[in-house]
Amino acid sequence: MNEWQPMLRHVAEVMPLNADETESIRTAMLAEAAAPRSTVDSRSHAGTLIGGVLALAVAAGLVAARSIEPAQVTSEPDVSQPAPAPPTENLRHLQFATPGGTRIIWQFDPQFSLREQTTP
Amino acid sequence: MAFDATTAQVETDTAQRLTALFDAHHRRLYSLAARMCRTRDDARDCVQETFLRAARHPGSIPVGASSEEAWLVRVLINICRDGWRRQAVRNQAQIEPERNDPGHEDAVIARSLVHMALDRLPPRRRAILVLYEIDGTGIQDIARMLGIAPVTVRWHLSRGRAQMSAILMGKLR
Repeated sequence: MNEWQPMLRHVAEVMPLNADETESIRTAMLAEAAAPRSTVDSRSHAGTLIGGVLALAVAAGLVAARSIEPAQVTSEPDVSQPAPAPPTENLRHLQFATPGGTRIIWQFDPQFSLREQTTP
Repeated sequence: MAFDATTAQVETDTAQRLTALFDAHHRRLYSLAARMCRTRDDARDCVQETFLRAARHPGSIPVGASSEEAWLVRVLINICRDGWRRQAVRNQAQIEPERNDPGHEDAVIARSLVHMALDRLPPRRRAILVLYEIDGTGIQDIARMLGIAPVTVRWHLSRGRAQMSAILMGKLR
C-alpha cells in the first residue's frame, strides 16, 4: 500500500449532515418537484422555434441547389451522341467529344490517295 | 375534475418517491461529495443540486435501489465536476498551502495537501479514486455507476494512484 493512502482515508473522515441541513435539502427538493415547469416549457418552445428556422434554411438551400443544378448539367457535352458536323463544302468530317469534354474533329482529305510503296 | 385528481395523485406519488429516494441515498451521496469537494458547504450544495435535478426529472430516474443509486452518483459526479472546473478557473493563481506556517495544524495541512493532490487529477479519475480508496466501492460497482468498463476503472485507478503518489510524496519530502 502506498504511504499516502492511509493519509487520504484519515483526512477524508466526514462529519455527517445535521438534521437542519438534511431537512433543508429535502424541503428544497420537494418544493422543486411541486414547482411548475415554466422554464422547461419556454426552453422547449425556443428549441422548437430554432429547429423550425433551421429546417426552413435547409429547405431553402436544397431548392437553391436544385435550381442551379440543371444549368450545370446542360453545360456538359453529350458524349453519347457524335457532335453534329459543321456545314462544309466538299470536306468530310468525323467529330466527336471525349468524356472529358475534348472535341475531336477528323477531316478527310478528298485528294488523298494511297501510294504504292516501292521496295528499294 | 378527474384530470385534477389524477394530476394531484401523480404529484403525490412523485413526492413520495423523491422522499424515499432522499431517505435512502442522501447519507451516502453526502459522504461521497464531502470526500470530493474542498469544503463542507460545497459538498452540501452538490448533494442539494443532485436532488433538485432528481425533482426536475423524476421520470428519468431508473427504478430499483441499485439503478437509482447509480443514477444519483452519476449526477452528483457531474455536478461536482462542473464545480471543480469553475473552481479551477478561479484558483489559477491560488498559492499552495504554507507548510512552514506555525499557525496551521498538521491535520489541516495534510487535508489541504490531499485536496490539492486530488484537484490535480482529471475529474473522472478523481471520482474513481475517491470511490475506491476512500468509499470502499468495488470496481464492478464503480463501472456500473459511471457507465464505463471495469478495465477503464482499473486503468484510472492505476494512473490516479501513481499521480497521487508523485504529487503527495513530492510535497511531503
